[in-house]
Amino acid sequence: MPRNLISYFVLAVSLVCVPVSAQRKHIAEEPDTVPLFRGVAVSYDLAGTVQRLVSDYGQVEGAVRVNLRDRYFPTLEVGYGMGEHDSDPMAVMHVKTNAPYFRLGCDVNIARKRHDDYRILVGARYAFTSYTFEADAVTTDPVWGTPATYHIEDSGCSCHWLEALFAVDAKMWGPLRMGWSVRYKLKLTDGTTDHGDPWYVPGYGKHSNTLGATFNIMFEL
Amino acid sequence: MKQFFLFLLLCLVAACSSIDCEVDGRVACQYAVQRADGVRDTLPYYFSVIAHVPMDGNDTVLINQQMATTAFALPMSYNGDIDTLTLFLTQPVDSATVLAAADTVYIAKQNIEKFESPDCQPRFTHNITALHYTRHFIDSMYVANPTVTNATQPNIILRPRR
Repeated sequence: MPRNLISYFVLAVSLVCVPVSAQRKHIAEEPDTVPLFRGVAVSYDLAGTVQRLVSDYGQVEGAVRVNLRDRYFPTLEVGYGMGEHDSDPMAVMHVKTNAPYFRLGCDVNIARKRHDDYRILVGARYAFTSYTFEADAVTTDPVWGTPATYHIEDSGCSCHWLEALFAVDAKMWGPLRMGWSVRYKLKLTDGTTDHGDPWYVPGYGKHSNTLGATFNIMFEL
Repeated sequence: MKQFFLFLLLCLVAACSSIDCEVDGRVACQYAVQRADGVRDTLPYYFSVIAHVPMDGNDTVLINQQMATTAFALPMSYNGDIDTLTLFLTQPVDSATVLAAADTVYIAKQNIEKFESPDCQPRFTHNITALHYTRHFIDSMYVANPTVTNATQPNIILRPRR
C-alpha cells in the first residue's frame, strides 16, 4: 500500500502544479478560422514508469495525438505492461505477465477558450492486449504430504476494455506540455481462463481495478 | 483547494489494497449415501476412510469412526493422477470394535490449478475421469458430478449393500 500511495501522491501534486502554470499566459479569443490540422504531439506517461519502479506492476507507454482545430484529438497510445510479483515476503507464488497493448480513441477539448495554452479534455478509448499469464509455486499437499507442483502458463489470453477519461494539459515551455488524466475502465472481455482470473492485465492494471491515471510529458509539433 | 483534497482522498482510497482469498476455499469431493431408489441412506456401524500415500507407503486417516453417515467430504490429492482410498465399516462388540467390511476405491482425475491472488495459497480443483471400487459393503458407486470444487453438491453417489 505505501508504494501505491507514493505514485498517487505524485499525481495529486501534479493536479495543483499544472493548472497554476497554465494560467500564466492568457490568449484573447480569436475568430475560429484555424485550419483543421493543428499539429501532432508525442507523449510519454511518467506515472506508469514510476508505478513500475515503486511497485510490482506498471508500464512504459507513449502516445501520438493529432490536433484538429484545437477541439478534437484522435489519440493512439501504445505501451508495454510489466507485472511480476515475487519480492513480497508474504507472497506464496511467483506471478508474471509482460505484454504490449494499445489504446485508440479521441479526446474533446471542452475548455471555453479552446485555442488557449491549457486544455480540459474528456475522451474515450478502446483498448486491447494479448498476453501470457504465468504463475508458479511450490507447495506441499496437506493431506497426502507429497510435494505438489503448481504451474500455470495460460498463453493467448486477451482483454478488450473501454476507458472514459478526464484530462488536463498545459503548455509549459515552447513545444513542451504536461498533463494528467484520470480514467474509468470497463472490461468488455475479462480474459478469465480455466485457471481463474489473471492477476494483472497489461495496460489495464490489476484485474479487479476500474480506475487509472496517467501523467504525461508531451512535445507538440 | 477543495477539489484537491477530494482528489487526494480519492487517491488514498484507490491506493488501499486488499487480499481476496476465498474464505471457504477448501476443495473436497462430496459423497452422498443413497438407496437404489435415490432416497438418502445411512451407513451402518462406524465409518472410517484412509487415504493411501503412494510416496512413502504411509496412510492418512481422513474419517475416523463416524456414526450415522449419510454424506461425507474427502479432500483429493493436489497432483496425484489416481487417489486410492480404503473405506471401513467397523462394528462395536463389547468394549471394542471389529472390522465388519472394507472396500477400496480408486479415483482417477485431472488436476487443475486455480489462481486467485499471489497472496493466496495455491488451490487445485479436479475433474474425475474414472471410478473403480471393490464390492464388499459397497453395492455400487457412480460419478454424479465430475467437477470437484468447493461446491457442496454431491460428486459421487455411494450405495451400500442391504
